[in-house]
Amino acid sequence: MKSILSFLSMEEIERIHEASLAVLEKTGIIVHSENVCKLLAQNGASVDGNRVKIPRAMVEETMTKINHEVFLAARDPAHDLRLPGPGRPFNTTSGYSPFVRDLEYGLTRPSTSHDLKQFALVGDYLEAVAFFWPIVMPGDEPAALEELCALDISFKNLCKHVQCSCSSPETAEWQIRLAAALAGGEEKLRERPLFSAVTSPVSPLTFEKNTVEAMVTLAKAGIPVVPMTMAMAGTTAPATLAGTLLVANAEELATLVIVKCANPDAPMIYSADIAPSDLKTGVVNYYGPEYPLLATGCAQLARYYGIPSMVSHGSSEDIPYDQPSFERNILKVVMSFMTGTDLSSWLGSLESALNASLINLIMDAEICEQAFAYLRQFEVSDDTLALDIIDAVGPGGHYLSQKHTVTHFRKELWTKKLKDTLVLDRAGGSSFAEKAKHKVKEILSNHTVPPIDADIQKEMDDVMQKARRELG
Amino acid sequence: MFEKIKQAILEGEADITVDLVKKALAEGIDPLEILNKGCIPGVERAGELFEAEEFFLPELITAGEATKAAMEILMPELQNKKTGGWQSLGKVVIGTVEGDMHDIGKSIVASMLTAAGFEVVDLGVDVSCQRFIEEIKKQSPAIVGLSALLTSTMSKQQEVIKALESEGLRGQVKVLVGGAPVTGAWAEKIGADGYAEDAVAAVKLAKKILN
Repeated sequence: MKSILSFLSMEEIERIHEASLAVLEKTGIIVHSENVCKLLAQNGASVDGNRVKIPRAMVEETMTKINHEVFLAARDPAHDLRLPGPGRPFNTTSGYSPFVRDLEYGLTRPSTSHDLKQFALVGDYLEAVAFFWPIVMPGDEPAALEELCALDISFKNLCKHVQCSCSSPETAEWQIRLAAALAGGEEKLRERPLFSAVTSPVSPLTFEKNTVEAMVTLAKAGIPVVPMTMAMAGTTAPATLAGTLLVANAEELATLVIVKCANPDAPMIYSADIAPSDLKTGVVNYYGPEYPLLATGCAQLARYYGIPSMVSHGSSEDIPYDQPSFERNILKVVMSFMTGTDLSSWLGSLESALNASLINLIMDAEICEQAFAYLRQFEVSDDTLALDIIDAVGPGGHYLSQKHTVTHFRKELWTKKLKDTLVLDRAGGSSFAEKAKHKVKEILSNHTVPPIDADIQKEMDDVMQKARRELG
Repeated sequence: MFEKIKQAILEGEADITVDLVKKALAEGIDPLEILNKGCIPGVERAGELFEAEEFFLPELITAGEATKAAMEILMPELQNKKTGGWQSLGKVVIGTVEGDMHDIGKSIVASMLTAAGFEVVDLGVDVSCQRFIEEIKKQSPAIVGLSALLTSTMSKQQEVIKALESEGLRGQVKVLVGGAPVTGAWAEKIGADGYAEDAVAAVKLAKKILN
């Protein structure tokens, strides 16, 4: 017994797949990179300027090369992640916010390296954070170095897998060099990819020069590519959910083709954060009920192809928590988890990922633990059906005094006390935000991350110095 | 041996508890010692763990049941003993009031009282006011326990207290009330002697009220 949501029937999945092949063959994609266009042409695509049409056979051939298992290695192998996961998603911080909510003063201000370091430390401590997105940007670094510094700071302050953003081939190269220094060389890094990278298409059906060239660079090095499509129903995709799923799916298949042309062994994660648009303002509407439905559809499509997925992302991320929003978000996260997504990025983020908060990170970790309880698997067996016990108790009795009850209830029934959560514990008079803040401070002053070996550290510092000279 | 009995009770193992008690008796250990050093500490520890929110109802109840089973073996031995013998902490008549079919809560309280050393007469559910009076006359208990799980049957607790007064029995018996809608304020209003929130509190209250 296990709960998993479904939105599409098998017939509907196949229609979306067929339509995706038709879109790629007839409409095609725009690729703003001569190099990548050339690569695609060499592999059978028809290229006219930057318009690339991918024949059905080329996509189908690519599909035979799908990596059904993806390995996300960590600095500490105890935190290695193997996808598909154990039936519940590995969660990460949301990311790359330019702002942070100051822990002491509660005000929003531009984020710095120091903030990212603190988030990494807390992320290292929290079990709910299975891998790490650099949740805030190190805004004190030069813009061209931000993504590289984010990776460097994350590596130093966290023992878990890092999934960073990567917006140019130069950044990709430096990130690979930095990670190779930590892994013990590029071949070691290929075996143990210590980071993966989010490089997204631009909906509809467009690949920017820098991101698509970054994709190719990463794929060649065996770094898992995470093309997070953000198609928005009504603006960058048709207003229909079927049409939006189609655009998103075509973009994922197009990325798969690009990545596999660069390196047939390259791993990719089927990734989406697609949503309805608010057609009064044109902005994304993460509140819309279509949001979790689209995520559910994407998870099904990813499973159809057998590609590990990162398609559903927890809470609405919009406001600092109060108790009602905390409780509402538990259900949102439960629904997100029940899509069956392998990875999910949402912890600690505010205002649609523009802002981030350490206090929210603590609260979200609590939501995670509660939501996991809904994903437990239950056995149907002679023992759990309890036919003989039901017969022994008979109609009208009760099961409280049965040995069977004593031996099973702790495993099957949720016994955690409500007051064990920061939010619902009304004892002591302090608000949950104060308690969460206290916990953040406790972690920051007590938790330490083992330092990187001095020789390796030096090598990484050398890479950073060279990068600063070239990019900075 | 006492420690083993205590452990078996804590684990809610009625069969093992009974075997251990029989073995202890065969070894010639004083039944009163078995009760006071093995059984009672076991069930009291279960109560403490329940209060500390480590034990849950099934664990509390199976510990109570194991103790009850041990007492069934010990009781004849204790009563046979000429030197002083054993006396229960007191007799309790308990039941769910008329019109109310809720059984489990009342039974848990009855079971825990028995395990703690009270002599309990459980009248079951849907017990009329008249039946309570008859049984109180017949049994002369120290305590009567009235359970009500519905707001619509709570008033029956008051009815029993009034009947005790008009029969001139009120001075002879302490009245304890319980049940989900029942509160301390309600107990006071209807002139009961006490209210307990759960089975462990009920045992404590019963002990306190008789001292």
